[in-house]
Amino acid sequence: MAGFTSYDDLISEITANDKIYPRNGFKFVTSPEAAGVWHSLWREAGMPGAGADPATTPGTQYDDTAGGLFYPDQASDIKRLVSGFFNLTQGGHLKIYDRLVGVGGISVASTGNKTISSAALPRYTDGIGVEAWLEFSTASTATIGSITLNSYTDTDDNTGQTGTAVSMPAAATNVNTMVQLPLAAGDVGLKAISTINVGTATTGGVVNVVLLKPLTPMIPLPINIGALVDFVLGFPSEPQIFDGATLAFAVNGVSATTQRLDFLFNVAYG
Amino acid sequence: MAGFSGIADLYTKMIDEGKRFEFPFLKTSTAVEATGVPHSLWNAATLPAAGGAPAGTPGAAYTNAGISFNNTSTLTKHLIHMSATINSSAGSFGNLVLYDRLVGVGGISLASTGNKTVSSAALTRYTSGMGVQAWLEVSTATTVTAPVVTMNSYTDEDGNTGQTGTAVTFPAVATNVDAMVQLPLGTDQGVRAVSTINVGTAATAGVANLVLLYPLAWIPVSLGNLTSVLYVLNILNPARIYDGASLGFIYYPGAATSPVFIGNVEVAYG
Repeated sequence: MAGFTSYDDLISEITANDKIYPRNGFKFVTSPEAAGVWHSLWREAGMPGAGADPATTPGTQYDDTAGGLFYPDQASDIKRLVSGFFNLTQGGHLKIYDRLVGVGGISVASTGNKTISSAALPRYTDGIGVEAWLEFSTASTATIGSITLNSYTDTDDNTGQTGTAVSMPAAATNVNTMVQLPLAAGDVGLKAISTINVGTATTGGVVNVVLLKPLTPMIPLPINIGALVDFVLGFPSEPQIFDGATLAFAVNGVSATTQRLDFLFNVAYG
Repeated sequence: MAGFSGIADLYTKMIDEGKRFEFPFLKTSTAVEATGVPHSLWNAATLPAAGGAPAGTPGAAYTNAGISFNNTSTLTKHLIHMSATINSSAGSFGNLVLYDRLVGVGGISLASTGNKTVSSAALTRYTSGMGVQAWLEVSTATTVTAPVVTMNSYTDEDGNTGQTGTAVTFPAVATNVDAMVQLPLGTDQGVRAVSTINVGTAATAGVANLVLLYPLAWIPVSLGNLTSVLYVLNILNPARIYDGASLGFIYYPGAATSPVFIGNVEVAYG
């Protein structure tokens, strides 16, 4: 039977059977937009280095993709996130997520519907908890854009669903800024995106549309005081890491100061 | 069977059978570069004594240097507990990172541009390179110009040679001795060997060691004279301490002070 039968079983699997994948590294957080604005680390240098922008529609399905953190597939065991140490040199909140699908090269510099036609989800295929985000790959320079997720498939397979409009954080929105696209009231996730609508265009902005599944809540990190996180007895309890998972990070800083994320976390399997 | 079958087995081996080692440390940091700039304690007095500079290319692998423990093969050693106090400098805080120092290559000039031969010695632990990090540890302070360096030929964790990372700029024109600069990778999760680094922008003076290391644990260290205690098994990071391990510390300063650290590292084996 896969999984862990007890805390002792988990200790035994880790120490006696060496069923643990430690992963460590760092990422620069370069020119974040502002305090309270999410910043993607996917395209940032570090260890691992920058991941590539996704392909244009229907985009890229992420499966053990370079630029992320990934683990060997397990024939019968289940992988789970169990512990971690994290540090931000300027403080903020950290999100760890599984990057599922990305569609690149979406211009938000003109109004109207933009074809996404996102590839099928490779994991979390029921769409529950899957989020839709914009990730700036080219900065905008003027005019605060307004964008709506105006045609998506929800977790009940209802197509053509429409969320509410969201404004970009600034007229000049920096590269790697992330903006979450709101869903319709009552929806708890999505399976696919058909189109987004640019109601107010920016000047010069290009985005990736990313479907992702958060694995952790926001982890609060004071300035230069690392956080030790127990994912077994703490919240959330041992997030599962599926085969093919491509883990990545986003940071919500307390300022617009460039900073650095260091991490060391453990995935155990049994 | 090596390792521990659970909490009770760990207790029996540590307490009843005495299968534990403890190493007290006292380290006086040299002048840190700045808040948030990692700083090596390898050459800091007092316990363990200053580690000394590595040899020139190909350098050497470290065995039982720094903080080290008796070999226990066929039993396995695991990090159980670490504590640290800043025993001076009210207002000092930050993080200590405990790492296994694997290979060092000394005498790499930062005072001229071009490729610098490293040809690092073979890893004797973590031999795949997964999770192994590459750092420059300043041994002669830089002057006049902040160097810009790229790890432009390394072997990744999959054995692929000739990999290239991205450029990194030193934190200051005059970067202090013992400051550490991590070398970004390509889309890789570790380094198995380093062939060359490239100095794209040179300082007028400056020499560094190339260090390959594997981080084991982080401990946040509070304001002066408050002990931080890390029980790693409680958060399921019982990092394996291999025979020959040579442990040292990197200090991530939260303030530009140079504290004295005291504490201890405890491992259990079974």
